[in-house]
Amino acid sequence: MGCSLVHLDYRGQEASQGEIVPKVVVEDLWFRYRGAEDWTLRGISVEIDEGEFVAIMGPTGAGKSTLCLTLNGVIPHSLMGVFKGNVAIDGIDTKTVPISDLAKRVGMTFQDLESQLFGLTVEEEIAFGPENLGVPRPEIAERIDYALNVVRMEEYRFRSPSELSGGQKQRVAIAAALALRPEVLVMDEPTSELDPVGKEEIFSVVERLRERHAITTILVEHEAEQIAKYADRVLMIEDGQIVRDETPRAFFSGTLKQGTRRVRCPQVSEMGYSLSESGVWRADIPVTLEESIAQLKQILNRKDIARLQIPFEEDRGRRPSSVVEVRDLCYSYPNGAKALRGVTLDILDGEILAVIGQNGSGKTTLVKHFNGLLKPSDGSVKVNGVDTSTLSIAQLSRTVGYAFQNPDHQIFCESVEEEIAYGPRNSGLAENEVKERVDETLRFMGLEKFRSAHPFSLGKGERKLVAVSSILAMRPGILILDEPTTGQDFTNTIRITEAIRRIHGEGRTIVLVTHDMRLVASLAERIVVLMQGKVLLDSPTRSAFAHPEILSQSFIEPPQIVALCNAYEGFPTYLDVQEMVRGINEAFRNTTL
Amino acid sequence: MHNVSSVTKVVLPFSLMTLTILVSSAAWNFLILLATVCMLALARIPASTLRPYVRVAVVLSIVFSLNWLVFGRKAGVPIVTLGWIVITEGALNATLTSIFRLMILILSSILFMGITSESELIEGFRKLKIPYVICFIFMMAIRFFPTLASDMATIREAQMSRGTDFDKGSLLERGRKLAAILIPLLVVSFRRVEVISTGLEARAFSPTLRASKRTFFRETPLRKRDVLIMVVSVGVVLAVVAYGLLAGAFGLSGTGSIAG
Repeated sequence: MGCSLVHLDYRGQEASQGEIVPKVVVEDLWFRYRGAEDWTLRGISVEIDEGEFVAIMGPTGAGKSTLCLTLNGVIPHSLMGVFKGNVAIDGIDTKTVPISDLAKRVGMTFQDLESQLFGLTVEEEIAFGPENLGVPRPEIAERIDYALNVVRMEEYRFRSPSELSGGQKQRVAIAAALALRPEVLVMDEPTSELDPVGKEEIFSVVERLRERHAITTILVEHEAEQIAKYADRVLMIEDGQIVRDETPRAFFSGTLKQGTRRVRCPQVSEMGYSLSESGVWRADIPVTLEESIAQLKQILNRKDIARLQIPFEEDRGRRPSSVVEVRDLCYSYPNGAKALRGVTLDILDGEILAVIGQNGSGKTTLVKHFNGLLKPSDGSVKVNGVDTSTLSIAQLSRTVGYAFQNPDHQIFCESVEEEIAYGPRNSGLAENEVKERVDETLRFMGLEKFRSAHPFSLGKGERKLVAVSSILAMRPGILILDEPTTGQDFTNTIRITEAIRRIHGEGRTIVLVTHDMRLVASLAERIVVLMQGKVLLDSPTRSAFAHPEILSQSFIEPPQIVALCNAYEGFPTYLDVQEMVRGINEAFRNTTL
Repeated sequence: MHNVSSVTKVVLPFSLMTLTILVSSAAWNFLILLATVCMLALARIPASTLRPYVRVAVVLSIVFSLNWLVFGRKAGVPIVTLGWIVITEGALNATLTSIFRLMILILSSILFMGITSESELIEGFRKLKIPYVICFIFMMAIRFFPTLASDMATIREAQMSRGTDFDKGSLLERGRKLAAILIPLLVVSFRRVEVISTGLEARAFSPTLRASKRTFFRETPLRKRDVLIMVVSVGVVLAVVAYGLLAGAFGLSGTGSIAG
């Protein structure tokens, strides 16, 4: 394939050395799962060199994970289906050797934090692979030390994985893969279930691996900004085919120029591209924050910055009434763990409020008080003026809707229609009224074509929308959305964000519990940051992001575009790319006129 | 007590349990109880751990006493007669035996859990020549039970948030409501099992893997005192069995002694 030449060139190696065998060679690979009608992989060909860092991007269901599973032989040895073409690791055809042999060469981690750890302690977890291979005990000891050191988890050696945070669990999974001393490390969406701290932890491990261990790395990831920073090469997979294979720079600017976008791009690239369209940006399209800061400096001088408009804040004119009043709320779990230590907070009618903070900061515990799943240990929570301790969850469910993070914890009916009808039926509505609500909700959420589909058969994004719809059909005035966009791809994130906007447009109050700062910046009017069960900050989103030092106490980083604004003194805090582009374009229009 | 081999940790408490079931005289059971308490002390199991279990044991003992002493069969020689309440020797023996047995079963389980980590339990099983695959399945059960429980709790909350009241309605209705928990639990668990099996294979595990082909990183060595403890505990069990078989009439084994 031609691509091997291309990347040999940009890695600065002599392209003429034809005898170097690439670490990974995939040749015209086709795969169809048993029982499936369509091919998941449709003629994939790619070569990856030793020490290369390759990121794989693409929409959910495009075949990214399936491709990963062909690299360590799980496909075709264990997952059955029709397999055509070749995969070779170090020149060894994966079809010809057992998975246990391939496990020595290709280490793999998965998105699901819980299910990939089997050990009862961290040490056992890491020893597990080498034990299975029959590695002698002294060498296992060495490998454990090495792996723990790479992921910086030495002090957790004898802990149970269940006591660890998400980031730590994923680090243990990486360590466990590294203990096999693989030549290739494949990480399938390692950060998509993690909070910002966890993400940062993983990327610093990735960076260490890249700098010091020169291991061939294949990373499936949606985080464009991190890919731009670490990857040598981006493969874009769509409908089971590799549609792009480029450097991150070429990839992101190419994707933006293409118009129809299927993957996330770094925000600074989006900005650079939009500004180059209007002729303001003449430099290359930036891919990293550092680059964009330097380039923006050349475009805007002090005078220009002074002319930038502070985005227009919509003034509601009146202070809306509180729909939820939380007063000195304390909550301790039955095991004695204090989750909330005196939270006072008002949620205003019709606002979008984001509750953010690290995992374990008390976010979920707090919002579970709003619909009565939890009752205060001390203090009070009032919803529409009524103390929640006097109401049942079923009663509160008509006023406060709560869509859980994982839609699969909710979905159980035979059809989408039934699923949506479940809640209204529980609240005792007559059948004709239930039907009316189902129809209206399906229309509103754009799910009409899935009306009689089996909810489990739908894609990840649709399942989330169905779960939200099933709550929305109960017509709650307040809607709690737990991680609505986490783990979703670019297209679904946009769909879900749009849906939230529409729901809000109907006058509902929305409480977002999320780690997705892009979502927070583009939707939330106000943010409440929780830390160790207390409110660290309660402020309008713009001013909260303008002072990231407080947020950083809770390991929260504003979105990239906000970080760019914050890099300049006197620069207005724009919350998303559109706002910033509009601001800069207007400033330039004013000068030319 | 904590420093003995994993096999010992499994064998010892189970010997105690076997013994108490075999032996049916109150006096002998009292001795076993004393031995169990001594071992708990040796293992330095804190009283705070014991307290809730002892409380349960006391409540059950009272129930037993009422059941056998007061309302039970009136076999044997009467010792105390209080109006219509007649306490016979046989009933007293049976009651005390049951109470001691209960105490021994509870305390030896606590001993077992107190000195044995999950990993040691598996290791102990393996050393007792239980096939590795079975030990492994057992380990996975221990590992994933809490995950299953937490999935279930989340699903329950998610459905309650949709207005499901699991405590209301007739038995049939409640049963139907359970589908709202069980179906998602099944689906989520099925997905989990898929990831687990893929993950296991990625780490060179295979169900046909035999213990002889595998390294076990942590092995607690079998020392002299382990052998001693095991020989004594298994020896006592065997002795009692043999004695019971040869001389069941002496009232050490079988339930016949109570009636006779």
